[in-house]
Amino acid sequence: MLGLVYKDLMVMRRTLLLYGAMGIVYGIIAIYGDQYGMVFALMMIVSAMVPVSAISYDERSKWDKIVNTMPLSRKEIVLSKYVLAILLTAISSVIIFAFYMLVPEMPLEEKAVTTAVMAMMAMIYQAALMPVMFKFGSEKGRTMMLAILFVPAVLIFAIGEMNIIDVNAAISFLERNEAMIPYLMAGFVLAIYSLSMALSVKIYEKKDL
Amino acid sequence: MNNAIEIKNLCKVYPSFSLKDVNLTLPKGYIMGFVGANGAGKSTTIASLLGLIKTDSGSCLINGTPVAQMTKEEKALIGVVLDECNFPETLTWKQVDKFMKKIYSNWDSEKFTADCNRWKLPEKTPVYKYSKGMKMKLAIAGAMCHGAKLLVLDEATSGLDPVVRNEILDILLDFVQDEGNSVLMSSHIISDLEKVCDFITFIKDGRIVFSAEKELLTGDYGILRCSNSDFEKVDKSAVVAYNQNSFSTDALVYRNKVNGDFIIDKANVEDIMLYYMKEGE
Repeated sequence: MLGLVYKDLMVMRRTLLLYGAMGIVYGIIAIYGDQYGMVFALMMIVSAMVPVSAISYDERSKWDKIVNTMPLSRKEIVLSKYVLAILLTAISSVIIFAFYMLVPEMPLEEKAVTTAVMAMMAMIYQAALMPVMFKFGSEKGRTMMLAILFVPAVLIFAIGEMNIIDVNAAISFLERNEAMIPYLMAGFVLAIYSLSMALSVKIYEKKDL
Repeated sequence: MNNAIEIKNLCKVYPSFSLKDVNLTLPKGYIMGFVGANGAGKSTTIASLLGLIKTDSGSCLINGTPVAQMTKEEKALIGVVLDECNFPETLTWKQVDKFMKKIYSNWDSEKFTADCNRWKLPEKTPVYKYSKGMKMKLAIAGAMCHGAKLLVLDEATSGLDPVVRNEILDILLDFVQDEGNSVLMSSHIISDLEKVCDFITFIKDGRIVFSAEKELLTGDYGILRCSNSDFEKVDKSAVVAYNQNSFSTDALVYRNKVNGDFIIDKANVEDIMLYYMKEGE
């Protein structure tokens, strides 16, 4: 399986170098401006998209057919993309945290938490997107990506409108237990990521190549 | 287990096409040519054999085991070349070597490098800049560098010039010098198959028309050329298919079923295919 991750890193190396260089330039500019949080979040999202691009590269060379004749299980083939995603998110987190260290006025804890929250957002995004990519391929997947970005917003709005959950009570509960938020979120990310992996493996195992 | 490939009663139904009761056996040590028109079911059969698609019924065994139940070591003994080079196009063969080493535990880097050099594949050029022939050579090198005992080639020689095709055929002949090695190759270039294959399997509209040794095949069939009035006298059970114009008829016939004083020419595999493709049209 690591062979596949290695292959993806080689295939994506130009893109990664370009993103890396862009990230450093924009990162430095952002430090001197005010909107660095925004720029860093953008950097995280861009890196979260790399595994998705790797899937579309695979499609272009019809890699799926040949890789499935190699001594690898379909599960390993799917999980290799998740390993790549986790690896890239980890590297981006380190880079972004390093940038935050250049911002003097922010407490260390806040820097760590903000970076972690960004990484978790990126992982939620990946978790939502990967099964769609495996099911529909990258062409259709890309258009569905937009829909996916809207779903959470619509859901939250709908929940608020329908009074299923008392939003104010929920917010005030979170305010009272602010320290718990990172843990709640980490648990949520872990759950949704595992669910996404299981779903992608199921989808891919059933697929006719 | 003496059969490299054994396909029994394979069925796969698509909305517009289906494979019906495909049976095929390739003994070890031989090359089998798999022929048929475009869309006849060659690739579907091969994809079923390799476990790339789910089948509706029947069984596909390689060395007596279905691909889905193979261990990694067993699966590594199958080399596959599809109709294009499926390696990532932005990589060079050196980079392909680097990651394939991590996928196949018995990947032979030295052989791969030697093959790529022998076939003059440029070291620093990414695959997408290769000619079609170079891409196919890379795909074949990749399939043959992990100790494969069975090669499966799906339209691997189509679109290549005769010189490159000949080189590839020589590689295959060389490969089966080892008696444990076997090849299944699909193609619609019948002359290629005629050159190297021991067995010919012909598929039409998702059904196997025949699967037999090439020598028997060319011995069994013949081409009958005669006037239309003489053709009337021929037992129709001997005729597979025929062409008729206002003066004469030529027909593919079973040699031993034709009685009487007729001139029957030798039929080569290409003739047999062409008449069979006409049959029922």
